[in-house]
This record gives sequence, structure tokens and C-alpha cells, in this order.
Amino acid sequence: MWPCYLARKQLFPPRRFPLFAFISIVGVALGVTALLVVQTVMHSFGEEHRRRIRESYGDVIVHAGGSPIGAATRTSALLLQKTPGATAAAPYLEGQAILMSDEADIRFVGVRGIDLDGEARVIPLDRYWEAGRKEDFDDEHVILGATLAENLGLGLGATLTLTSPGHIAQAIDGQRISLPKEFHVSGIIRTGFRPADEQTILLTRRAAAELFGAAPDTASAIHLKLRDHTQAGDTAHQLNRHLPGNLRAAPWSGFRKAFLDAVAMEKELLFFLMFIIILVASFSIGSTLFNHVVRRTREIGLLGALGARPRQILQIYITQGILIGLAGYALGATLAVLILHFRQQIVQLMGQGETLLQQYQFAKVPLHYNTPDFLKTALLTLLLMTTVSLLPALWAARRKPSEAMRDAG
Amino acid sequence: MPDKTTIPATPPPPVLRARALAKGYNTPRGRLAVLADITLAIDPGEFVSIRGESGAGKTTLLQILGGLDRPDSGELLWNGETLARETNARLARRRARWLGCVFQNYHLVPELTAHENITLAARIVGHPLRDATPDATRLLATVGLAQRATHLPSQLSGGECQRVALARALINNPSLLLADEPTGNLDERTGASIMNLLIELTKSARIALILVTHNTEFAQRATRRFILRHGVLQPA
Repeated sequence: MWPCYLARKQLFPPRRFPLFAFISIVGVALGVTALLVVQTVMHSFGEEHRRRIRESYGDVIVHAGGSPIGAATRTSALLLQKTPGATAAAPYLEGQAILMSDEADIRFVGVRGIDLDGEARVIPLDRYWEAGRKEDFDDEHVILGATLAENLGLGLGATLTLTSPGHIAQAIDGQRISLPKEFHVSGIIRTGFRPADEQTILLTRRAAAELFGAAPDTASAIHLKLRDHTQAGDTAHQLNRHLPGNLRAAPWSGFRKAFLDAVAMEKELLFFLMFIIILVASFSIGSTLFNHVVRRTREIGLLGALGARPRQILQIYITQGILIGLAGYALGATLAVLILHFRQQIVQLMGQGETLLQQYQFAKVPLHYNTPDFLKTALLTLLLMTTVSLLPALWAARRKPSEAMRDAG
Repeated sequence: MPDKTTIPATPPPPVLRARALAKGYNTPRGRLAVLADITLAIDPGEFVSIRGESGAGKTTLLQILGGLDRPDSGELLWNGETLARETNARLARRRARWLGCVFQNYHLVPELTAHENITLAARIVGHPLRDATPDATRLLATVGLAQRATHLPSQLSGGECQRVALARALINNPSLLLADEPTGNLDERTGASIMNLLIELTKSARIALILVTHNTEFAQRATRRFILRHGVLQPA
């Protein structure tokens, strides 16, 4: 294939710095880098949120529409047994509580009552464990989110008091009430997910039931861990056909859906904006390519004189566009991977760490590569470069050899 | 006994036959006729020279004879076949096999070495590189540049570039070689050496040669000599 051979030789001339190729390739590479970094970061935010949601709620949640689930231990065991693909199930009891500690004001917090062993099979508590011993966790102890513990100035062994808002209401009505209960901190967990780290207080389910005045062995919901989280929708759908009474199953993907949709839309919008920028860059590369072809008028005439057909001349300059696209993509993708590797340092240098924490709730920039984003960008780059090289290539192919040689002088 | 009759061998058709070729260009001051009535036939191995003043239309004539441009009227035949109905692509394919060109400015591809410039012409015709390589090596040796095979045109002198261009023009064993002022950019001694080589190689391979030149001495060496004047070829 001599046109490809000549295209490569013209683009990367021997014993000379390939200035034209260098400028064009770097131009494409910068566009590719920008697109891939933006796409990967946005995908990572979405993916990280999805992972956190799964790790907070489990893959499938069975609830009773706000009513408590009775005989939760037995129901949980039955669900685990009857749900295809389920590897663990754990009941939990959630509610709002009023927290009072020695060093802090009174504040409302979310409290979750759990069975630690079962919970650790659904949610990766072991991975999040920062301080304390799991063995110390009992009806007198709590586990705190790391940020909450820091904000309250509470360390291991510290004391805090919890009471239910329902008790206050009962007191106002003049009814008998349970007194606020004291707990000691036996563990601290850090998930890296801001809402969880700022708000988490874990009690035993028995202590939570006592706090909320609920019957023993009740649960707000039972969450299930599946072997394959992508099957959560189907599993929830199947469960809903068989679950008795007012029990309902919901997949993890339904939680914070609006937020995840917003992240996805943000990603699409950014892709569109970056695409426009790359389109502008492509046209300027196209213009450079046109100049490059015009400077080669004499050679185009010569090739015609030697018997090259118009299609072969077209092939030379389209090949050059494709080569620029391929090399630009390879360089751009490498740069993008490098930038993404040092993402945390870059965010710190830019002083945007706190913004990241506030806007996206992550202490670190997450990274989840998405192969379709890389493939889409590669395809787009090649398509654009082929398109912008088509015009100069057509111009070259339509030159009569006699005219080309005369015009070149 | 049957009568033994000797059938005379049919002479081969002329390599090139031009009948009443005309060509003109549109200018702001109207139509400018460059070639008016060119009629010419060239036999295999024949050497024809064309002289003329600058602007007389020598290069235009050469381009039309070589199928690089089309006449406004008249007929052109290569080996007895008309070119009038050929598409540009088919004309290019025929040109690649049938024609060799040597230009005043050498027209070598600057990114290719001397050897690669020669093999390129063979590859355009469709010969694989492995077949073209030994031919190019042999031709480089023939033109005295065996040691310069890997040199780029920028590393060669004018005379050396023209030798490479000559080797390139010969690699596909053309029937006709067009030489447009091949010594125009060379000093007298180098020009004479290139001219000797050109004539010698075309003669030994029975390649017809049309030489366009200002140089009377070189033109005199042709078997037929013409002067292009007022768009018409006149015997010199």
C-alpha cells in the first residue's frame, strides 16, 4: 500500500523533526485529554455515588412502606433463603434521635440500629473501621462516623446521650417517658462519603428499639446483598411478586435517583461542550492540513505524472488525517491517564479539596475508568480527523498533474 | 507443392501518434492559442528533440503528449490506441506503465531516499516492493549512484538528483520517455554527462525519447529535430 507508506513518510520525514505532525498531534491530543479527563471524572463521581449507595443501603431493600417489620430476624433469614443470588441479609431499625454530648450542643442525628455481624455481611464495615474493637459493641455502646466524632470532639470511650423526639412529645403531653440513655463510643468508622461520616450513629438494634419505643425484633427495613448488584432491579421485581402483606422490595438504583440523573446529565452536557471545543480545534487542524497539502502541490503533480490515480492521492491525505488522529488519541489518552493518576494532587494544588467535599461529598476524587468513554472518544477523534482531512485530500485528488506542476513552478 | 509466400512482418505502430492537436487557455484578453496544429508520429526507440522560445508551449505540448493534460481538439494515440475516451483514473494507470518523465526540477519526493524514490514509481504501477527493490538497485548502479541509495534528495547534488529522476523514469520499462529541459538546472559538464546517460539508456532499451531543450547542441543529437513556433511543429 504505497499511499499509506508515502503518507507516513511525509508525516514523519526521516532525519528531520516532524513539526507539522507534532503540532497537529499535540492539538488532537490536548482535545482528547480534556474530553477523557472530564468524562472519566464525571463517570467516577456517578459510579462512586452508586457504590456508596449500594454500600449504605445494600443491593435490595425490603420495607413495609414506613411501618415497622415484625419478627425481623426470621423474615430476614427467610428472605436470604428465598431470594435468588442473595449472599447476605440484615434487618435494621432507623430513626431520628436527639444527641447530647458533654462538649457539644444538642443536635438531631440519624440513628441506625443494627445486628453487627449480619450488617457487616451486607455493608463493608470492616473496610471502614478506623478505631475501636467490634467486640466492644453492645447495647451500651455506639459506633460513630469519623467526621461526626471529630465535630463533637468524641473519641473512643467518650459518653453521649441519646433520646427520641417522640419522648419529648410524650413529655409535653404529660405522659410517662423513658429517660435519655447514655452510650459510650466503642468504634469509629470512616467511609469517605460525607453524609455517612457526618451523620452515622450505629447502635444495636435492641438499643435502637428501646430508644424509639419500638417492639423487640422490629426493623425499618431489611437489606440484602446480591452476588451481582446489576441484578438488583430484576431481583426486586421478582420479590415484589411474592412478598406477603405490605412488604415491598426496592433496588439500590432507585435511591437518590434524581441526584444520579443530574450527575449523568452533567456528564452529557460537559461532553457536548467539550465536543464543540474539539470541533473548533479539529477545523484549525484541518486548516493546517490544507496548508500542508497546498505546499505539496508539486509532489501531487509528480505523483499524477508517475501514474498515481486520484483515489490513491486521496488515500495519502486521508491516511495522514487518520494517522494524526490515531497518534493524537494515543498521546491524549496517555496524558489523560497520567492526569487522572495525579488527580488528588492536582485538586489540592488548585485548592479545590473543600469544594469537592461540599459539592460531591467525597474526601478524595474517585476514579473509575469507563471503557465506553474511551472507545467513544477514539471513534469521535478518528471520525473528526477523517472528515477534516477529506477536504484537502479531495482538493489534492482533483488536481490535474499538469496544473499541479505548473502551479508549483 | 504449395506456393511458399513470404509474408512481410507488419511494422509496429508508432509509440505515439498525434493528429491535429490544439490547445489554448482563457486569459483576461481572450482565448490564447498555445498549440494550433500538432501532428507527429514517433516510432519505438526514436529520439526527437523539440526546441522553442520560452512561452512557445513546449511544456504544454509535452504534457499533452504524456497524457498529463488533454487537448482541446485533435487525437492522440499511444501504441495505436486512442486516449480520447479514457477516464482520468484509466489514463493514470496507462501512463504509469507506458511513460517515463524527467523534469528540469527533478521532482523527487524530499522525504524518500534515492532508492525509495525509484521504487515508488514501480509501486505506483503495482509492483510489490520486493520485486522493485533489485531493479531500483540495478538502475542506481547504472546511473552511477550505487553508494547514494540511502541519501535523501537534500543530500544529493543537482546532477545526482537528475540521475535518480532518470532511474525512476526507467524503472517501469516505459515505451516513451519525456524529458523537459533535463539539463536546465545543471552546469555544462554535468548537463552533458546527464544527456549522454539519457541518450545511451533510452537507445539501449529502445525507448522513444522526446527531449524539450533550449540547448542546440543536445537537440542536434536527435534523429528528428523540431522547433515549436506559433503553436506548430516545424522541422529544424
